[in-house]
Amino acid sequence: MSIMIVAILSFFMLSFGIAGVVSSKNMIMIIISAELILVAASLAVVSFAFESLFLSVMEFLLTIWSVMAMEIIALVAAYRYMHREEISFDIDKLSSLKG
Amino acid sequence: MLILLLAALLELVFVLYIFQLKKMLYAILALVLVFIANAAIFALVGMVFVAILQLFVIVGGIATYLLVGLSPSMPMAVSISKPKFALSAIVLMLAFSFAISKMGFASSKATSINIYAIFGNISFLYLLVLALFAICIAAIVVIKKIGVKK
Repeated sequence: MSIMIVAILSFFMLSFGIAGVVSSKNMIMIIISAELILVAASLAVVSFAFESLFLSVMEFLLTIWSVMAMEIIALVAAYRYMHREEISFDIDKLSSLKG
Repeated sequence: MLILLLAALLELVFVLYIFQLKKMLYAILALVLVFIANAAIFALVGMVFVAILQLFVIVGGIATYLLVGLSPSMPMAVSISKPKFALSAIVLMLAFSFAISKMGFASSKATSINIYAIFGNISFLYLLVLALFAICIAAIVVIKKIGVKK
């Protein structure tokens, strides 16, 4: 039963994350929604690892966490540049990044 | 079981807070609370080591870096279309609940064997992680060079 709760929670988190990516116009909110999708992935790995004898959790979690870290680092780097150059964070106006 | 259910509900409430709060600082703090609730769920399921790693690496490192890195624009408002968010979340939840109702947990063993066959080599995963960090550092260098040119 506890596995089912974690699996359902991961599906809910995935739907919230995708809805956030679809509905927000701010670049930072899109990245935060992508973080939610990765949290959902880690929950799904943990829930399915109970059923499996062969699936090692740590390798998948390390991969997921490194993707999360990469997203945050890329977000902060892009943000600092855009804030310095006074570029808007609205994704409709991000064509100014073309140069 | 009840505590696990409460932690799951709490995590969902924190996720909704991310999209409801007006200021970016509060949204990021709600994201940190989501990570903490996620670690609590890991601990309640029985994976205490994973929970401690989640707390140290994600909450202690990445979330703090996010807070410090984004600090110059904290008064910025969160721009999100709430009706669009609610509609897409409900549609996706209905779709995923249909998928869960059709999904048998007994079949996950076969899936995991296939996954293990693909990612069986641990060094492949470590190389993947290394490649991701290399891409990240390359992105930072490219962004810095663009900034210098301007």
